[in-house]
Amino acid sequence: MTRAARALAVAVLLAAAAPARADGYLESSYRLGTLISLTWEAAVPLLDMRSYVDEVSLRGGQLELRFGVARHLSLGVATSWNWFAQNFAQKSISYPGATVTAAVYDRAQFITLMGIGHWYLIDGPLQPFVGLGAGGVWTSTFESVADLTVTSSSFDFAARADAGALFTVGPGLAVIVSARYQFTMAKLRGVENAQWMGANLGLAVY
Amino acid sequence: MAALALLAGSCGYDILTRNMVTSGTVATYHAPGAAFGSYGTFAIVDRLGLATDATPAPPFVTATGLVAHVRSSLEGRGFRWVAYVDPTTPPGGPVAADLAVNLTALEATQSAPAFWLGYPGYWQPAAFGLPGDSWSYPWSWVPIPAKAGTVLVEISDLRGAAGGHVEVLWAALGYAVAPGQNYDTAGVLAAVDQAFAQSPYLTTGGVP
Repeated sequence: MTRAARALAVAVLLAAAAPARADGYLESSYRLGTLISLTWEAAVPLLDMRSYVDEVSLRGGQLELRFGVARHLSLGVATSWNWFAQNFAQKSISYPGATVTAAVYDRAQFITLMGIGHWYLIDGPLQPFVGLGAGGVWTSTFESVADLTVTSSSFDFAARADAGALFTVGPGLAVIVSARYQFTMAKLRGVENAQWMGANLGLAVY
Repeated sequence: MAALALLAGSCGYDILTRNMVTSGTVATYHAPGAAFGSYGTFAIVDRLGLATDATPAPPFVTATGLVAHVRSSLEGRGFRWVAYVDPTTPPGGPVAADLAVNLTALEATQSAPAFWLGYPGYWQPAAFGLPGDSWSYPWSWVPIPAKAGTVLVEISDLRGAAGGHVEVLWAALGYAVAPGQNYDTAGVLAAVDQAFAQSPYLTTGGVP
């Protein structure tokens, strides 16, 4: 094999090996990097929140900052935004001593800020993870019944659990998919604890 | 970038909430703890009182279909009709019935709760043989402004009238259901049906 052919073979081997060399996140205790992810979230209202809105929300997303603190372990902060909206041609709303049946427009917006922790189960380009978080949620709602509009806002406790995976597609770049269960103590009309399940898709850099 | 694009696209102004629909709204009210099961009979006006800002205004509206529909709806809930009342020639003494059913056409656009009490076309308890008495409402009104073409149905406690007051036990408002002051339309009757449907306690034997 000539020198040129040998060099070409090495180059081909290196190129072929390049994706495999894109390490996953927190694979080494000596490289505890920071991960930033931005995801879009589709959310399904759960339990009694479905009495307020029961349609899937496609308006939501999360921004997370994860700091590596140990191999396979990160701590960080996350903020999310979700917008639930539904129009009812006719819906009955109960008030003290009264019932109103009318066209109803229900809206609820949630902005969370939580501390989060994640554990990465394995090394490699595909890294499943599980996580927990707790913090607060700012909630604003408005409900229009005929031409009567009632608004509210509050700040309440929030907690979450999530599970997903990082698909490393290049050095320091990953596609992130996850499912998030979000619990809040936010109260809407007829809802004691607003909560939903979200499916997330986005990108992460680390 | 895809996530950013999706987020940006979801931030549009939610303009749908600006298109409020009032027509067809039905509100019902009931006195707390009213024992509807203790009442057996009712008398009902044979025409609708009229609350309007227009002048000159007729003192009442004829709507035989609506009157009959309210009567049959109550009979369907187990109450027994005993008399029609002509408010323009009220009886000399109290009507022998447990409940008074009053019907009013609201053609004035007002946001004040129970604004109709001050309108001359609204039938007072005198229509049921209780001159000088006034209605009393034991609830807070949901502040939905009245629109033209609104129908008001009220059921009051004739048997318990005392101290110059006759308590209204149940009221229903069908907002803007009678355009053109026609109170015998299918829309009006449907509003009455909805009012009864959302008041399952309104029956002999019922308690809210």
